[in-house]
Amino acid sequence: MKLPLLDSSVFSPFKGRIENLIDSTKLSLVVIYELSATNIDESAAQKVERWRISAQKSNRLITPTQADWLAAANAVRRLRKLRLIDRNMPATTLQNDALIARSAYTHECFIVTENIQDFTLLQKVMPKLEVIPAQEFFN
Amino acid sequence: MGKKNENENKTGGNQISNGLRDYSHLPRAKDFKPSKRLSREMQELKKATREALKALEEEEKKYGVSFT
Repeated sequence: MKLPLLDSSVFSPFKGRIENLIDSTKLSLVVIYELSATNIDESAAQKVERWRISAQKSNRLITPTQADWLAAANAVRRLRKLRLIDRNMPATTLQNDALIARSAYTHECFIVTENIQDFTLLQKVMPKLEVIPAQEFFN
Repeated sequence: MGKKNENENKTGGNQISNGLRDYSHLPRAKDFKPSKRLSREMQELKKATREALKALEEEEKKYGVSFT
């Protein structure tokens, strides 16, 4: 069975459900980045760092490789070329979602997200990507 | 070899006739049963997850910064 890869958008609304699911999920380093980048208190940053280390020790952490970065860039480039996104959008637009998406299908995972729109867009250029809205997954 | 689903699209998912995507082939949270015996690493991960999510929630309340 494919495993869920949780996008950053699900941790706040579904935090009560995630703990029991943690031995069946993978975690992306990109998600850890997104969650860490919003930390203000040092103690919160330390807890997120401990979470990252634990995920790594238990082989649950997916870290994008060079190939993943290049594939993500190519996906966003194709969206731009096909005019599915504005050609003047900054290079970082969709960067993290494309990295999470690429990590998902190369690790036999599917994405669980609240941000279904961006991932549905990425599916147009990442045919192997599978995505489910968080509401549908958790309910 | 079975007949390929006529509605199968290039995303590996199924698209139903009204244009909405069908996710029925993907597992749901309820399909993943928590292990009765977790390894030490998984116990640590579970605890670290709980503590990190709690800390993020407190930050959200304290500063109004959404972590998603």
